[in-house]
Amino acid sequence: MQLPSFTYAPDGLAGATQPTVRRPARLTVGIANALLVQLPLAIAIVDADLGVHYWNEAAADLFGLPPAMAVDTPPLTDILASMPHLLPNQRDRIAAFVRDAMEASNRGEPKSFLRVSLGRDRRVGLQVRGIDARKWMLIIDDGRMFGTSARSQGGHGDAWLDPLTGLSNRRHFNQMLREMTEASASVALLMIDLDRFKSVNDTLGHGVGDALLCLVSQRLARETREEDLLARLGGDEFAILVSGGGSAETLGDRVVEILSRPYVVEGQLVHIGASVGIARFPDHGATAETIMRNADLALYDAKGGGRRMCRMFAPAMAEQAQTRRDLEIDLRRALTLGELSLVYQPQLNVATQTLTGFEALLRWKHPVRGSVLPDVFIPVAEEIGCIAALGEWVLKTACEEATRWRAPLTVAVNVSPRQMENTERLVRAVDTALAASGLSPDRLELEITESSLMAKTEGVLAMLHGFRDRGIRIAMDDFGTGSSSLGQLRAFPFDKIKIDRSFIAGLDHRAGNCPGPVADAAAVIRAIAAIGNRFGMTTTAEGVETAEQAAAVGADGCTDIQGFLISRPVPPSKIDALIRRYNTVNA
Amino acid sequence: MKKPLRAGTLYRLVYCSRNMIARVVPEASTPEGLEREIRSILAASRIRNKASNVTGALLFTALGFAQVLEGPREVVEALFERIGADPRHSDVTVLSFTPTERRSFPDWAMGFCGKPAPCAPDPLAHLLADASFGGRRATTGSDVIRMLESVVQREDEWIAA
Repeated sequence: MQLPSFTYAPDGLAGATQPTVRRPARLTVGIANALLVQLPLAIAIVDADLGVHYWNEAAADLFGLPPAMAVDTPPLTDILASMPHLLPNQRDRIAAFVRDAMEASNRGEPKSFLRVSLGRDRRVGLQVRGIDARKWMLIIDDGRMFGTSARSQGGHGDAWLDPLTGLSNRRHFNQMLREMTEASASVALLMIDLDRFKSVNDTLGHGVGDALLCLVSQRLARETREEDLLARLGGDEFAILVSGGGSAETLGDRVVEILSRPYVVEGQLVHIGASVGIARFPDHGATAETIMRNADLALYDAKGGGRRMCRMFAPAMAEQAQTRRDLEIDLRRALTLGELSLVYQPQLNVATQTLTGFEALLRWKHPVRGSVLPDVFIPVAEEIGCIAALGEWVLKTACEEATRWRAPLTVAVNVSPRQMENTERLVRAVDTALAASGLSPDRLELEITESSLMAKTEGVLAMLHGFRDRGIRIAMDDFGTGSSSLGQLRAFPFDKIKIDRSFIAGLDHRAGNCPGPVADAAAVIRAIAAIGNRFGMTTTAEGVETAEQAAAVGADGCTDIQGFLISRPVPPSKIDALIRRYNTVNA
Repeated sequence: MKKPLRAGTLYRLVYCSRNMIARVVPEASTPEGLEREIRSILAASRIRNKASNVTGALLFTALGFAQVLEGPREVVEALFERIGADPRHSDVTVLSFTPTERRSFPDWAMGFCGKPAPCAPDPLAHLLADASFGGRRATTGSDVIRMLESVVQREDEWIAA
């Protein structure tokens, strides 16, 4: 309320003639008492011996005490002992916290905060403030201020609680982190993320997923102390605020271990894992936001390190993240600025010694960094979600450039597993590329990797069959590097298998005294070629660099070869020269 | 085809794990201390399992535990959740979790092989080595059930001993 800006009229003249002037009410003892009694925040006044001298209505309700002033000053410890849901160690913890906080306030130290659960569904925050040298105020907030708590409305749930697990929610977590950092209390933040949870939800259903999240919460709750805050931030993301921050790494390792143990739920045996990232306040950042970001970076690092890991934040992680962000920004611009181009590597048929087609390969010429390799920027593109746009550009450009070749050879385009996740968009991209260029569909070959078929859903298989029905060729790329390769071959009738370059490189020991690996690589190549021939598939050996390798893979039954022996990848302007050189009949 | 789950369906769970008692409970580093710890675990579980209609068999050795739990699905799940997260063992491997027509161990039974004169060789050595290689090839739940049937004593006899 705004105070009047003019001077008060003398007492005797106050009256109806000056209705706009009002004196602010003086805070009398009566008013103060009424305020305190009715305040929806539990307040009790305690002395140095923990004798309780006063409590308001909210405190009486919380502790189960009579509403009026008691005749004597009951010790806080007795009041706590009378609360049926409070465990003995929680009682001791509260009493110890109150004693410590009273001393701390006398020394002028910042106020600290205790989160404690007073039995089921009664999580409260506790703070001690000094009134004078012998009296302290105990403030207990159970989230019922302004009726935000659903409990005070007679329902279930709470504005501060996650309804599924009963843990604190993101809102409460954010507030606590802010309070602790503002109070300069040292604290460690553990960010926890479940590995493989999504696949549980997808395969076993949300019912099992939700039940699993509840078990995860219970396991976490058993590992955390009362003074720590455990929250579910959403989805399969959890966080723990460790006050004092002392044993955060031990706790992090323990969390990874305990959450990775098997679960039996709804009649199912379920295995998941967890990754943890930790950042400390104030060591790793001056604000709540920085601590959150750095704990997230550490979590990202833990997941990148192979999951089921706990990582502490290190400044190098922030630098790496900055480099990546720069790369992201540049990559988003690269498409529009025309910094991307395609080069083509020829594929040769061993029997006829003529070229059958070219594989389109993406290149990025960065104005400052120079050439950036696909191995570096494709993973970034996949992660920031611009792989679809990148893939569309490659399809469109490759189809269009192939129409200008002097012979109608096939053009092979790589399809990222991420593109396969959105089948509708991929089908549209292929349609658009073919329609815009006028390229005959039987000249387009799509190279997919084994990992694209790992989750071989109906949708993906239907899409591939749709492509094949229209004459588009489908090749299995990098064959032999993934798992269950042979099973994948049965999942779909591929037109071509591309044998991974590592097997061809394995033939190089032939010159040395290393018969084992050579025999192994040759045996694998021979086996794959045999399967390919049996099913009428083309088998292309990748990474062929020497005439000796070419002879060997030819003898092992491969129909086609690709590699530096024929040619390095060339720009579109050099393609016709290559075709002329090899395919003289067609020239 | 997934059958709808009926509440109270009889389920059997078989797991094995490594014994970590001595690491977590320092008093249990002597054979006597270990036996005391195990007796207390047993006494507590006995009351609880009887009340909740769970039976089974349990084998302790110096190396680890192998246990069969049989009872209504919800009860077995809740019980395993508590047992599985116990810091006194590690490398918990569930060998099988399936519905069953009848109980293999209608009386709560247990065996203990960690005394000063231990069974030689440790009957769990092979099982744990296999389980930690992500196995389940050589060792199945039914192997464990057969092994437990051969080594466990009746719990009452053991308590009385």
